[in-house]
Amino acid sequence: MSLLTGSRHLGDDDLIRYIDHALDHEGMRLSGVHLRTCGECTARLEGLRRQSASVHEWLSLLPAQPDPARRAAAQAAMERARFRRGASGPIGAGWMKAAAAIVLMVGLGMATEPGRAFVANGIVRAAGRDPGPIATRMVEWLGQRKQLERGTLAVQPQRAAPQPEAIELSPSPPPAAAAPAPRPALARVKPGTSAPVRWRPAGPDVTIRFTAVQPRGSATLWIREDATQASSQATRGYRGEEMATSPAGLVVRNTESSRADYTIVIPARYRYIRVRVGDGPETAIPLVKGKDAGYWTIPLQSSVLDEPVLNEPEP
Amino acid sequence: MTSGTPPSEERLNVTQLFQQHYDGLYRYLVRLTGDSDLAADAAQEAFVRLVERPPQDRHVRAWLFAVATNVVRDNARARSRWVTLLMGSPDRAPMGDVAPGPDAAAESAERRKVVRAALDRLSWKERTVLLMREEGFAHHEIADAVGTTTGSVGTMIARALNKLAGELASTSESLR
Repeated sequence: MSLLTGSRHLGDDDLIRYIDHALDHEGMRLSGVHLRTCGECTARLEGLRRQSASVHEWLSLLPAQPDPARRAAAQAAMERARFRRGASGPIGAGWMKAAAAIVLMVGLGMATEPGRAFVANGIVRAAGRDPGPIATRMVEWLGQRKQLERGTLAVQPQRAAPQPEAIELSPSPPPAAAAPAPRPALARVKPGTSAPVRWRPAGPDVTIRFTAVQPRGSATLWIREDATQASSQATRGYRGEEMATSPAGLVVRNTESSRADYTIVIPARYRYIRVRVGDGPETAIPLVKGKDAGYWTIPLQSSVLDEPVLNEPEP
Repeated sequence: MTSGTPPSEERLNVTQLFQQHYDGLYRYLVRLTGDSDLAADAAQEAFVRLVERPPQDRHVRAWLFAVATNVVRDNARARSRWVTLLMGSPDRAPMGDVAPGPDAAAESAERRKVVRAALDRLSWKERTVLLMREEGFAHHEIADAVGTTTGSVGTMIARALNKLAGELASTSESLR
């Protein structure tokens, strides 16, 4: 036409836009006016409509129903992503919290004598055997030179000590619970990471899914039932995550920077599963038959450290 | 032609969105690629990305289709599959339909083969615009998905439609 080029007739592209209502109001009006008076363009318009209908009919011959299993798998993957997102939380908020915590710690450290001692202790530990001039001056500035002298001696043997086994497979209570004395300090393990655990009755089984996000350290999800009756798999694990089944229980191990999804299937005849994370207390979770799917959030705060540092005993 | 409301209004109820759009997305992808596995993979990836990086200012349905189209296009595995498909297995039928009787199955398979082959003879963009139009998308949404201007979408659709209708018309004559 007219519309774009100024030619006499509407082009096929204009006609397609007319059919699809992709023209603006004025374009639609002008095209309508032209089509009412131009037999040739009207015929081409009808031809394009017939072509569209014919193509629609031909395309409908192609199978289009998804495989139900793939559909379910896609939904499960989406839900896992949703849980991961929920577990990790908004990044901005996380940084804000971390910054606030640092400010608070520094403030407390500077304000009180025990706080200054604590900060000095941390510096000594971080500096290790040969604290440099900066660490030395910071400790001196905090008025904790005594810590520096003591710390260089205290740190050395611990560094030489062998790494502990990260995962305890045995169901026996952890030594930390039995022994009251020196409590391990958390070394570079971010606390409070969590694992949303989702369960769904499925026929004779209960499927338990959870997503573990553990920025550092290891954690164990331990289901104390006859785990030989259970089947399990770790899916979408990227960094060497492991899941092991043994008569003692079912152990999931997250490694450094883990981000994995796990699926555990256990028989529905169980009324409870008992879950222990790391060396934490056991939690009994009822599996209510016939109840709709739900999920729990189990804190995955690791207490198994890759670099344990014992608090110094009081002299 | 509308394709849903903006995400700010829907507040991304992803489960509901999945129920609403998965089948349509899969249908589009399986027509686009001719490969049910690839279509299912791309559809799944689009929904996972919807959760991880939801669209800020676009209609969710159009966004899902655009993402899935990009996933298919950019996927190296998809490319190799495409080569295989284009080199001579246009009759690979996606799974999922109820099996008809032997005669009907043979005829149906023949017709599917014809449609698949005709689609495969279109360029990637032609096939994308045509199939997105078939799913009811507006020209500006199609333009976003294929990375072109809204104005050129009408031209591409007209060309693709002519090409495909011509192919199918000649083949349907030979089938009779």
